[in-house]
Amino acid sequence: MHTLHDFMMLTKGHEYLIAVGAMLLFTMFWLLLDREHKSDK
Amino acid sequence: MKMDRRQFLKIGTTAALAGAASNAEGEEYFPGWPDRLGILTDTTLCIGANCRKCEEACKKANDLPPHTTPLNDNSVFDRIRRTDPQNFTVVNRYPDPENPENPIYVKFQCMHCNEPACASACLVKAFAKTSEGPVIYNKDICIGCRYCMVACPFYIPTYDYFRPYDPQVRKCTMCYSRIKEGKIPACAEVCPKEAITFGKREVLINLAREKIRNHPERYTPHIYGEHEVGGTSWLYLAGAEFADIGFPKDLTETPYPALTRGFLGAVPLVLTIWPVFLVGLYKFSNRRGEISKNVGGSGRRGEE
Amino acid sequence: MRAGVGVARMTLGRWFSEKLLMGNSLREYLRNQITPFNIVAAVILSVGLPITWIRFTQGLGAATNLSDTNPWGLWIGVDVLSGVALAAGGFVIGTTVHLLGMKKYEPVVRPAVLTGFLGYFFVVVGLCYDLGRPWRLPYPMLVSYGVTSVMFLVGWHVALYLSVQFVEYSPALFEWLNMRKFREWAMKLTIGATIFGAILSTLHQSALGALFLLTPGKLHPLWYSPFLPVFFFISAIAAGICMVIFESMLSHQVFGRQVSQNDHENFDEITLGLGKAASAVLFSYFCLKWVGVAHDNRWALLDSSLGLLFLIEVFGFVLAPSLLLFWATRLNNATVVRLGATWAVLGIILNRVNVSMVALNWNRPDRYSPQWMELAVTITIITLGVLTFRFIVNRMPILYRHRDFEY
Repeated sequence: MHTLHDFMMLTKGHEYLIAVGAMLLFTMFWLLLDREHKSDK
Repeated sequence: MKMDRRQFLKIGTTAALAGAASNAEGEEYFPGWPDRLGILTDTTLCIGANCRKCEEACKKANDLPPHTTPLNDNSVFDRIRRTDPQNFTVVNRYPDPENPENPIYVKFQCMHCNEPACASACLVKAFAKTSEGPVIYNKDICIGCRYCMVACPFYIPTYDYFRPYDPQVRKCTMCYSRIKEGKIPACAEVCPKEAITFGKREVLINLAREKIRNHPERYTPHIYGEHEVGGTSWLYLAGAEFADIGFPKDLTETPYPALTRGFLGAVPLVLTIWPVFLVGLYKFSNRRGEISKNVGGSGRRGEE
Repeated sequence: MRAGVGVARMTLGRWFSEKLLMGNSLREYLRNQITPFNIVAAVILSVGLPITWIRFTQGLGAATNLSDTNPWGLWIGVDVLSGVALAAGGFVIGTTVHLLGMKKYEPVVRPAVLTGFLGYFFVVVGLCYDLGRPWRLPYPMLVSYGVTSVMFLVGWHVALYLSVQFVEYSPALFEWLNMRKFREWAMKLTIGATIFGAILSTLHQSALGALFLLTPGKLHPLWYSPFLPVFFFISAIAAGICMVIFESMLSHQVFGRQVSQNDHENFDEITLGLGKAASAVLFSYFCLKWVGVAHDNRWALLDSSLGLLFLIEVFGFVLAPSLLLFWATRLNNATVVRLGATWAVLGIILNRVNVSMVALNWNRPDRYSPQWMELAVTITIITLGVLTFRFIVNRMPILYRHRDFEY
């Protein structure tokens, strides 16, 4: 990593992956937990 | 700014872990490829009139159409020119206030920045800073959005507006293909006054400093491109103020990628936080609706 | 006998006549098309289509005044930047109704979403005129990822958002086509699509502003600010609300017959509510602009010709409509709300034009102004958008509820 630009090429990719992963995980958990909650009622 | 300090720490940790050769304290300005090449243009040596051999050599090296007027037609200097798809470099004339007899000639072309705005702006990575130094263009992925042209603080990139099927962004390549063959850029090779020197950037900076030291009456004590926008591979010496001879006036040392770093840093944060926040909002407003339905039973959900 | 799953049980001819020609024979339909509006539209298209031909066979230079110093012009400033801002109504009303639970505004959700969907779609059309190689439009999605670029974000988000808006619009489409299963599936996705749409909108509306963060020396300091992304986002919300007011005003006039008695009665109330919201957002945006001026201490610059333009933009086209909208809601005057909303819409367009064309490169000798062909293309695209909107509203349950479906 010799320039700020190179650095950002690397880190931005990581950041987006983590963020999108978080979104997907959150969505999955919400749908799962919500369904269980409803069936408990 | 808080965001940048946090980024500093992230940089430091990642760099240390990755074992990269960067300062463990986390510098925002990276030193760049150490062996990268550059060009020093000494405008005090450039004769400009009846010459412009650099322009001619550049056209030949890049397969561009030759000049339409003879090289000794000095009327071209009557107006300030910019680069265009047939001219990757232009020499402009500026009056020297201290020396009206001898105007100053300045050769303009891509500055091959260490942290190019064009590369930062390009959404498909069509521009790249090579390890050798030149900033080069990949015509096979460019989509023609021209954001690079908006971003470049030196107004260098030009566009083939009259080619409908294969328009490209055009600019000086520092003769990258020639460099790969072990040759030197065409303009540096042809200049009869040796105003254009090609070599390692580090060496050129020392050379420039030496020139200033040995001839303080001749040069303004500033190497243009040493630090501007984070440093450029193309460096200049001059006998007048750079702002008076066509160089952009208010460039700071901030490299252009740093200008959008803050916003781009916020994006993954929004992606992570917004879903939780909006789902919470939805749950909250739904529950209120349910409560009012149970309590009032009026059938009117929510309120104004 | 009603068609069950959809097209299969009808003959193609009857389906064509009933669905596309609104129950007319081809001859009747064509005769009905000769209206003043359609004649004007035909004239506009007859100019726009040859220009399109010129643009794509001779290059951008043949149809525009774009230059190396000014690579972005009218098609970016109006078609793309203003278009995206004005299409924000879809996400604003969607969030208001589905996430904030304000069911009062339900009647305008579908028109707002349709405006948003068509808005973004025709922004992409406009973009295809402007890109040097529009056939490479998918490249940032599929081929090469320039993740350091704000433009990369814009590309991704507009592509994703277009899909999301389509999902939000699709229940109306499936109701029209009598495709029950698809319709139910689309309805289930509404909340998720609204949430995702709100996230995407936040990001790309602000990203359009962030594009100009790379122009510190070129953009006049009264418009250049580290807060550009915030300015664009907040003004887009205001633009979206005002466009819904504007579009619903036109729709109720032109398509009034489709609107239920109930919705007619509530219409003014909805307009007033939206007007109040728009007033508040515009006022906040007005103040934000001054925070930006103070942040970089640009006060002295107000005393210049561009300073005057800034004052006109901010006082005349942000504060003034904000106050007018506020006053109108106090007096319960929906008509004045509509006037204020239209005024605010013009103000947002003025801001986008100022940022991308007037304040950008303000100190260069070689300035840009559009040539007539650029204007013709912009008008053509807007006309196509309006025609598509009309086509859909005339046939699909946008302004009313389909009696065969539950809502």
